[in-house]
Amino acid sequence: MQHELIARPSMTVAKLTLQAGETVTCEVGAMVAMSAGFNVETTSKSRGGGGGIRKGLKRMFSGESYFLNHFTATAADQSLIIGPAMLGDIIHYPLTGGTLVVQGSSWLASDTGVEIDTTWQGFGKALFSGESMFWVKCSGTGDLLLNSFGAIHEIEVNGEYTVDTGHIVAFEDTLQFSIGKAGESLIGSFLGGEGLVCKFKGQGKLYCQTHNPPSFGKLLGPKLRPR
Amino acid sequence: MPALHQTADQQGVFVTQKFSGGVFHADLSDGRAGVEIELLHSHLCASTADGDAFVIPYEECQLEIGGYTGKMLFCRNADRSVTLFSEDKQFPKALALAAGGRLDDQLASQLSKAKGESRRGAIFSFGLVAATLIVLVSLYFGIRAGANRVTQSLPVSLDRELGKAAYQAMPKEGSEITDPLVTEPIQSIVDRLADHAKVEGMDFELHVIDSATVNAYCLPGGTMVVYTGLISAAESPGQLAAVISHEMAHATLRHGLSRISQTLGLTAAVSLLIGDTAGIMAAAEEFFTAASINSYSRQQETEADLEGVRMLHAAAIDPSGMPSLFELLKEEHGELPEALVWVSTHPDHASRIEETQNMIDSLPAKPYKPIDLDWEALKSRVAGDSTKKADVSNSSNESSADSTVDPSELEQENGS
Repeated sequence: MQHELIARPSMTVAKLTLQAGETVTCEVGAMVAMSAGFNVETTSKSRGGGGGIRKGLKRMFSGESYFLNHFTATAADQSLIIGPAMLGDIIHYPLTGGTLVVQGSSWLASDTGVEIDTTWQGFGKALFSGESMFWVKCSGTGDLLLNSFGAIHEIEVNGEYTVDTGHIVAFEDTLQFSIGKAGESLIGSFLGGEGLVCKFKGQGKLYCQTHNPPSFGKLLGPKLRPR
Repeated sequence: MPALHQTADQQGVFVTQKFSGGVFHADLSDGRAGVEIELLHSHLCASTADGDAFVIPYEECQLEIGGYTGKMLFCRNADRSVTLFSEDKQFPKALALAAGGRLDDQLASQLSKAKGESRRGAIFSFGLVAATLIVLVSLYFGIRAGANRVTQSLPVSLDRELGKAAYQAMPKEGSEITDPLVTEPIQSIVDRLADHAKVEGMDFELHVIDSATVNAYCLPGGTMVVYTGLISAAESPGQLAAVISHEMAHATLRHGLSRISQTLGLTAAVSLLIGDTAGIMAAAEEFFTAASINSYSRQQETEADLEGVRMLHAAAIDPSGMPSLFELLKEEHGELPEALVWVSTHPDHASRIEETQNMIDSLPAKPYKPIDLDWEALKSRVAGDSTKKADVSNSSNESSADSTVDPSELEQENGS
């Protein structure tokens, strides 16, 4: 599978080129356009392995859909354009046997060699991280496409690093994640508008989004007229 | 890089177990790769799928436990240029064994640190759950008490407005009876009780409706509705007075208003507290609201029973009509299964009989004055009215025939 990211960084969509027999698994509703002859299949199972109803339900809790769409090319050089619902960027992450922990709803598409599972954050983290209750855990080997709200920036963490809640896209599982306060004093942290933050420790890559959907929603929501 | 081969340690145990993991090194493309880690005699050796190999002697090894799960073991060399890691459960133990005691101290201190962190995490989570529960529970009871207090301080005229509006909007089950032979005896009961109402300024207005439904209700502010079906079903004037006193008590205790303010208050407070974060919380909100409406109205029913008894006693009407009414209901309808009592809005008959009887027993003895009405005449008049519709053709409410009402809904309002 070849990929090309077009219209970066704010309106990014991914153009995937597949050879006959190659399959890509996408988030439901991600398909924007495709060439003729794709075999489209919708299941609750991931192609990489396992799945079914239980995993589908877990996926729903993580902010993804119960179903997955599988696009299989039937001829050479067939192309498929996929994009996320929100305005923002897409990144490509090649999985090589490690595990990437992805924020619910940031997973866009992956190779069949990638297994998608969900993992519970833990109660405290779930309440305060500003993310979904569950993370999506991607492991195996293959290409992975993630989307964000706003642009994505990559940080190579070695030691400690802090990100505001709601800005996490994904991180490698070699990083330890905890919730903490932004400054020394708890009250100061809240008065400063930062409140609680996500702290990372260890070594590995971390992907952040420049904007966060809840803040945007809070800004926009009150201005919308009820229909 | 040394060739990989089977090596035996001093005890002669083969330590060629392989662990899957990863490596961080600046020379690797992307700075990292997946590896297979082998524990050899004097060093750890990791090899990538591309054939690169990395070695860390045990003496140099700096250990650290971390990662997303908090169970990943990292090993670094002296200048920290190479980091090997694995999440395999057997890895720490096998490493300690292979290093022959050289890494035991480091590993033990890292393990105890990790254990401390996870314990702190567990305590924090537990504390959080407990705090959330305490806040929710105190909020729930706080609002119940607060809503009640607020309701009691509102002017009675508000009840009247509400009740009038509700009566206009309500579908009537039959036409209104204006025959004084029917309305006057009932009015006399209402008047006797009204003198002993708990709230000043309540203006009881009686409507008798020609319907076979065994029901009566009193809207906020004192709009009292009695169905002829209730008069036919009652065995004595005392039972009829008991129902009327119970319904009037709902109005004087201002139950309708407190139910409204409570529901509104809970919904507002819960959504203020929780925001619109998750569906789970929305479901919890719904549950709390439903539970409060149900349980509160059961509490209200009990309150109305007791207040009814108090009013009857104060008006010198024999309150034993109340328990005898519940006896009648018990015989006719039977008890709800035990499990359903909680969801039902009315307490079970047995406990209502017991509670009202206890209250009657505790009241000072008093000469009761009989209810001044011709019971048989009233009953036969009502029976005549329900069979001969023509008699009530002077009623102002003729459009009622096509009105529909859910009887179960009225049953809830009704004290019977």
